[in-house]
Amino acid sequence: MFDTFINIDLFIRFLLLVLVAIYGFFAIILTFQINVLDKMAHQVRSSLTIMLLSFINVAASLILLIVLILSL
Amino acid sequence: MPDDNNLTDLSGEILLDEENETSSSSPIEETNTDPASATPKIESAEEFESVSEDRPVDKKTPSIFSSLYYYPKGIEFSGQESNEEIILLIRRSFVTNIPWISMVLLFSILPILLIPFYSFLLPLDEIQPPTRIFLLSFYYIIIFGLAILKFALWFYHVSYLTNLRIIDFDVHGILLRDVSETRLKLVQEVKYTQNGFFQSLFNFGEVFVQTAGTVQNIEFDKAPNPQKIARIIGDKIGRRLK
Repeated sequence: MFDTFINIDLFIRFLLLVLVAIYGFFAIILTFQINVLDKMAHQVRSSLTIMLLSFINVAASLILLIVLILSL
Repeated sequence: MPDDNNLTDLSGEILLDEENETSSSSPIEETNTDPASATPKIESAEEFESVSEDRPVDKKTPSIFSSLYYYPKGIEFSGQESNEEIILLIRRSFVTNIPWISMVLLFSILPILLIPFYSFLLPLDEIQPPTRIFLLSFYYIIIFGLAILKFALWFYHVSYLTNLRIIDFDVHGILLRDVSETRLKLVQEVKYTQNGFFQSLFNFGEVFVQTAGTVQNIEFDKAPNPQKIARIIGDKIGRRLK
């Protein structure tokens, strides 16, 4: 029973690691596309805010990914 | 014919040139009584009707939530010519964002609402506390990313009326977009529609710009204050909307 407890937790962490990695990939794509859209139609200050938020999104997913890797 | 619509609606604002004000006095801005440089803020449709649509003395930068702005400052777009000036910035009415904002808020509070049901939904006894925190963090990161995506799709779905042309950037998805433009001299007709209860309530609708020949027509969907947009475009092409 104790072994089962560890396995399920590790399994969930590993699954979460894969999902976070996939999400991080999409977050990077989102950031790049926002950058492309901004070159199409740029608005001072507002565009910077949106790009900053997208970078924060990428950073958060990368931080979570690193923490998950270190915790395994 | 002037209507009673207030220009300061939910979705945006139209700032026009200030003229020699005779009666308007803004509680926020100090009005200059000098006829040469007075720039009162337009507060009513009646004032809008009588105000010249000349370029304002002091252009201002629209906010991140602006969906309609007259002579905005600090905006550039790809392919903009050196002598080209943006007269009108048009986005979909901000009210159209309410569905996804509501969804984001609902999913944000969902973990709190489901606290009594966690033991039924998840094998909590077998998931260590750090893993629960990781799961919750990932959940909120996804919600945050979804909100950014939805907002960016609204923000970059924009149209511009310039002194030379009308440009429409349609962003259908983060990877799917198309750009339409037409010169003002090719515009034949401008009309607008407002269908349904919500469009009438929140004063947004579709504006159709019909162009000559085989040039693609342009449509501003869910644009705020469509009657004003049509009137401004109509004035620019030299025809008043009936």
